[in-house]
Amino acid sequence: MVILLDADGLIKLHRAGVLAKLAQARQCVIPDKVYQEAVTVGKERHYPDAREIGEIVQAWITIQPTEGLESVALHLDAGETALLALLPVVGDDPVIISDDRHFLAVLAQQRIAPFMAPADTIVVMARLSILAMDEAREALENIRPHVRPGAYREAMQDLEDLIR
Amino acid sequence: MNAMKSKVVPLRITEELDELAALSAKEHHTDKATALRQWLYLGAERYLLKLVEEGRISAGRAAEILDLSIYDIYRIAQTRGIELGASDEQRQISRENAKKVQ
Repeated sequence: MVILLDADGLIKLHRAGVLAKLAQARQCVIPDKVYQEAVTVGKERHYPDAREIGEIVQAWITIQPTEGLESVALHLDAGETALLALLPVVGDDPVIISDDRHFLAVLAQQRIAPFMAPADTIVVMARLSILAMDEAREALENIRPHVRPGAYREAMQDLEDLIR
Repeated sequence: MNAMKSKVVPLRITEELDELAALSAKEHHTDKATALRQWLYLGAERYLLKLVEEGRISAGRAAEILDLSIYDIYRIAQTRGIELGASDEQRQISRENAKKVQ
């Protein structure tokens, strides 16, 4: 399984505090345009996340060039468009991590690839013992300000259901 | 950020708005055209955030149009109390997909 992340997925999982653990546990790939969006542009604007994400990406995440790959942009940004272009070449069983409502609508409508929201990714990481339960709870608390209340509630419920 | 192409758009506005733009320009030590562009930009920002909230455009694309970063979009949304993120239906799909991941 290959995990593909857009800028939204990268940023939210980093804010949850679990991006590095995920990248060390599973093969993660981002297109070069997502790196530009989340790291290069973020650094230009002095967002501290951007530098931290950059360090994690450089250490554990594959940055895939997308020059010459074709895709159709549907009110998507350059990173999302590049990610779609990457799908045919990235390998078997890709899963996309994103919480962007429009991007997920495109993925669902076009049945392009399965997706997971960052909060659900944290639950998966706990189920697969990539995170301990208390780490997963802390990660969901960290991500809480950045996701919809329902996403936090449902993920926390799913997490607690793992130990029942 | 990318250099963006510009376009001349002839625009008819009321005299009152024209005077208001002139007042704003004076207060902010700029010119009237800049004041009008700033108002237009603020309106575009508000409209784009609404489109992002409704899932009609991605946050990253909104950032590109406004010549901002995605971090700026998150910050502006949070400041205005706008909730971003997957819809209820999308979360259900996500949770189903999550159960299958090994």
